[in-house]
Amino acid sequence: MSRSPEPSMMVIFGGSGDLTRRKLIPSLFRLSRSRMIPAGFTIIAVSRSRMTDDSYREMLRSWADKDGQNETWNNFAQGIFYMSADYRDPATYERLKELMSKKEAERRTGANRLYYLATPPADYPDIVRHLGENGLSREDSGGAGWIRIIIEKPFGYDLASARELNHEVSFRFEERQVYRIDHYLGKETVQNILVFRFANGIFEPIWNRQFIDSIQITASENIGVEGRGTYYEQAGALRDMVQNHIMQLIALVAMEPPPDFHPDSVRDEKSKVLRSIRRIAPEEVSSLAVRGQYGRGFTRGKEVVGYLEEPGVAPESRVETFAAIRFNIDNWRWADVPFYIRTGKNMAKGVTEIAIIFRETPHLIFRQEPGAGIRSNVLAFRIQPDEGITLRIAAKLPGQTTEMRPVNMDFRYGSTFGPHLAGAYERLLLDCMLGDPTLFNRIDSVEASWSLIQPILDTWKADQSTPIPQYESGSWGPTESDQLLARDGRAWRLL
Amino acid sequence: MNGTYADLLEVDVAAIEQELRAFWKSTGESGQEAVMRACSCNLVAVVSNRKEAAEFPPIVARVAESHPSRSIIAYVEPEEATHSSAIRAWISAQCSPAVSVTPQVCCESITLAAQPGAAKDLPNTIVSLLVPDLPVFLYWRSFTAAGRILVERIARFSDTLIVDSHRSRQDPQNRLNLLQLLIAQPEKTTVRDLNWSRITAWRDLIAQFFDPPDARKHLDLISTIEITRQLSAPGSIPTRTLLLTGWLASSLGWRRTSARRRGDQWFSSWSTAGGEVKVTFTGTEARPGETPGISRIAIRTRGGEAKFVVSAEPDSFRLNATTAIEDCRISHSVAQDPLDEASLLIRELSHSGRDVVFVPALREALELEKSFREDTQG
Repeated sequence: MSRSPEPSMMVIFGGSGDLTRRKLIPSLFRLSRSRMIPAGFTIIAVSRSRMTDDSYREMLRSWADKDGQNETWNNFAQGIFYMSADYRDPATYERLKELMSKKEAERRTGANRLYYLATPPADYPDIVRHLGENGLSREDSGGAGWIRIIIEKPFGYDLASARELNHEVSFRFEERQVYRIDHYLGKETVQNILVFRFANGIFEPIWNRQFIDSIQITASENIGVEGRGTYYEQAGALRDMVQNHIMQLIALVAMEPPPDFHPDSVRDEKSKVLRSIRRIAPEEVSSLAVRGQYGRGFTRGKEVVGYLEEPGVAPESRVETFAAIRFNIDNWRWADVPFYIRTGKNMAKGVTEIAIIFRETPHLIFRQEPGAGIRSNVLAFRIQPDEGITLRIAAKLPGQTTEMRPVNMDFRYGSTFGPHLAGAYERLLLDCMLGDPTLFNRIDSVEASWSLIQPILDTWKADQSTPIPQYESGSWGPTESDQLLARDGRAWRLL
Repeated sequence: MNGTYADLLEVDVAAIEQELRAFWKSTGESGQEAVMRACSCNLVAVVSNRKEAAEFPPIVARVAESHPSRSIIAYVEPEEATHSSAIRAWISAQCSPAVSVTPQVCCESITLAAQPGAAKDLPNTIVSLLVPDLPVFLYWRSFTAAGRILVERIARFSDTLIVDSHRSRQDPQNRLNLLQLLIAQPEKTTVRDLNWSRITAWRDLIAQFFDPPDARKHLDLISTIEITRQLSAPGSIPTRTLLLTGWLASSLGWRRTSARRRGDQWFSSWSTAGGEVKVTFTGTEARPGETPGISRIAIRTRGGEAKFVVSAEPDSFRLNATTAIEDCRISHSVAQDPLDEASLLIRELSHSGRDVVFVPALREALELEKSFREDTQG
């Protein structure tokens, strides 16, 4: 039997949105169906659209993964309620308070409340403020029930707005009540990075500048903005992917071992390593950071238009759909080891991978034909798709001569543990209900990440004249990205 | 090699590893679609006879989809045969279908049949075939006295011993001894029971009744528990019901004060912190098409203030749990876990470490079953 949380109520702001329908409700349904959350679990969805409880439940039915589980869905849906509301209207929160009290009594959720902010980020300050002003954010000092809030990324639009938002949040909620979600941290292979590093004694001794040449992190998509041009115009690759997902991956790979697996022990180390990353000065941006926009091309078997032709995108937009950056970490473990990251839309493949590239042997005793060269060992964490870990080593080819070739030793989740991995949101929602913040971001990490990105954002925003490098859709990004590594005598891995 | 199970190939026992290597080499050379050889554990299954050995490979094939393993199926022939080999061996492979661009995942299966005179050599033969550095799960499929000595010897090399205590209900004479054997296993060997896994969903739902802080007080107020079962045959031993009761008693610190059996009605009384609890098992014969097992559990508290009911929906794979406290009534419908042998094994192989709740529950269930037997015999 697994540990299950106490009965609770989740209030989802943004209840009719894409995230709620595609991720949150199906994840909660799967948790309920698997007995991971108890009877009485209640959802109150809040959104501007006008709907009734029944019409909202009917809308969700088409999105939930039912697999012939109509009766269990019907039972689960009885715990879902809908409230049509304007987040900026104070009266909304009076109504919400009444509805929550009523449902808590009916469904015995024991005053445990979880607010989920799944709205556009612009709505966060209003919602947080009104929750506070209506007494909905503070826990009962008598200990009856808990109150938590999950805030979706992006947390802020830039460093200043992240600090402002946090000021509002921390005025209403204590830090231990706040769960800043990054769904990457719920993925099995991302969690496996810590297990791999700290449950196996053989890797930590070589996990440093003496043995590692460089680290490459790729988070590429082989799709474009998919009709969300209006949203993407406000975001761009740096805000959408680098500030959150990629910085978290860097932290997990580069952090020091924590003394234990207590949430704050882990998060302390992540924050420490993020603060050790060297800030890129404005004058260095042009040599350490590359941006790009996808042009026309061919991906997933069909022709696609360029970013500037996408609906909702301004024809003269300078928003980047691609970013590549070289970071350095100034500490004893990582000095002079470059961390190259790249992310983009409409690239050759949809893949997220962390590659640890080891230094070559100091002296190769085997004679090799020029150009035949055995390559460095590489340890690659494949986050998606086809989660797993690969180690590239050199092996001798059978025969009379000592010819070598690289071979991969593979561990694949799908073939070792079966094809069924729990979804990231399932893990994270359950952890929040259990009160475990290990996989959620603390404010210091969020601000540290923004501090690293801010100079690049500012420099790119100030530069309105340099043409944005274009790359063909279906390629691996602009050639400037290759030059970023070529200058250091390196090259991107072919994935 | 396509599909989930390939034909058995008889090989010399001494040449099993060599034959397996040749087999993997041939899959790489033959130009068939690529296969990936994977192995995450050793699964040793001790079965009763050739018929059972023939039934088991498809189950292994399904288990291998979630736990690629080297499986070794072993049995002792009932009588000396005319073969010259004291131990005969066959090899085969189980392959999972390829998904998209990934290759088929295949793992190895070895079947060993020993003549009675060579049964003492079977454990060492098995041990020599285990893949190093991987966990060893020993599945004593038949769970009868006949296999006891063989299993005890192999268990010394195993990390986990898995049984299905429901199977021993056909051998009530020896059943209690077999259950005692499980309890007496050394610390280093984890014991698991598929029958215990069958009641996990029921235990989850019962435990969840008392999760809300304001429901916890009802634990001490429980006065009656009625468990209704569908019987496979009149007079069947209610193995799951006994385990469930053993779980409640061991978890809540109940002390048994009486046990009586009248036909298929089994009554027991327990002394608890809150007073006496009466537990009744009621059995009715399963109708054609109805799955034997627990069909309903109703827990009532003193004064009738609260009632907790878990019931299985007929002809579906769903359990319904209903809490009624005062005038508040909440129901929860969940999917029943698949209860076929392969699914149960998959779940057991997913766990490592001891289930600290199981052995106390088993111990309590064993004592309760003994008391019922003594009552019947007396």
